[in-house]
Amino acid sequence: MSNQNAYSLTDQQLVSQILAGDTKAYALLIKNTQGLVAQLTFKMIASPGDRKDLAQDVYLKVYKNLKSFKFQSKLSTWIGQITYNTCLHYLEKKKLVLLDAFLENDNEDPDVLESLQIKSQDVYQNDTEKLVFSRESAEILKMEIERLPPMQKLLITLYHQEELSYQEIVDITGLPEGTIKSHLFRARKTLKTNILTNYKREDL
Amino acid sequence: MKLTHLSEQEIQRFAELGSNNTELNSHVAECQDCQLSVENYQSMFKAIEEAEVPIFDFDLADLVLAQLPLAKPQYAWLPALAASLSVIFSAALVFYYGSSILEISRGISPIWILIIVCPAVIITALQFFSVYQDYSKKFSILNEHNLAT
Repeated sequence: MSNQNAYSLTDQQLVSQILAGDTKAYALLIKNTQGLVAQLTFKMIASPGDRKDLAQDVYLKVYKNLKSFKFQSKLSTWIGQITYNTCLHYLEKKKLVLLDAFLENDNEDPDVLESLQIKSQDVYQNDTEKLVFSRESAEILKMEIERLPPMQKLLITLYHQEELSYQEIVDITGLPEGTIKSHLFRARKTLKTNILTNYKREDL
Repeated sequence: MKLTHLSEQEIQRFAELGSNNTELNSHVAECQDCQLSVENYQSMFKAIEEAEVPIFDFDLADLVLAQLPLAKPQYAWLPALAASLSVIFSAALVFYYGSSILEISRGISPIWILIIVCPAVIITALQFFSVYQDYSKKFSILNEHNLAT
């Protein structure tokens, strides 16, 4: 496989090369998708050692099940789904509290957005000054994102950093679109309010 | 123009996607509170997009590739089949035309036999060397994998 064309390979071409035994193609797939896997594992798993094991486990599962991939979604989305499920399974096995936080509000009615809309009529009043983020304020933003509940933290990352669509997030997490939208709405609102409340403009 | 302030949800949507609704657009253009709120969201979204992303501090590809089962070539049986067929074909030739071959070879000068045999021996030796190298490489990969596990 020549390096020149390596990055322009379609999912189908990449998969067929891997299935034909091309390990360089598999290394390329790992390099192309490990960003999403890192985002998911960093947001869901606290221990660095466990993240390392889980990331390897994810790509061994991907290799094992690649034959059964039906191209119904993007290859990266499918890998994201495997990562999410692998992390959830790990949390479940370890009986970690984080899992409860993930599953709460799972059956949330999409109409919840309407009620949030009414409650939030007065929230704009928090915007007493203009937020201007500098390079130095990146740490403050990172810290505030980390303070969000796990699901909100994950969704902010997938939507705003990985720039995934709602459908792709639905495919990865298996959550209803309404639930994703309401979590995302709350996450953004909480993040903005916390930053405006806790930091002065000079801090940012 | 919309007379009431935009809801938080409308502000978020406006900040992210803008709006085709002229009422909303003119309200945001006129209302400093809503404008500020939209700008704050836009500034925050941009900062999140530009924020540092987590990366693994180890070479994930190397770790995974070392654990993959050795790939079997798609037509692994083809060389074995070709070798078997050539042995059978050669045996059949010797069996049926052995005497004729002997007679022909008696007529060839020893120098021509050397010209034919030497390259054949060298090619065969090179092929054995290549097979041995491949075997050693696979064996060392297996050893490393066993040590790692």
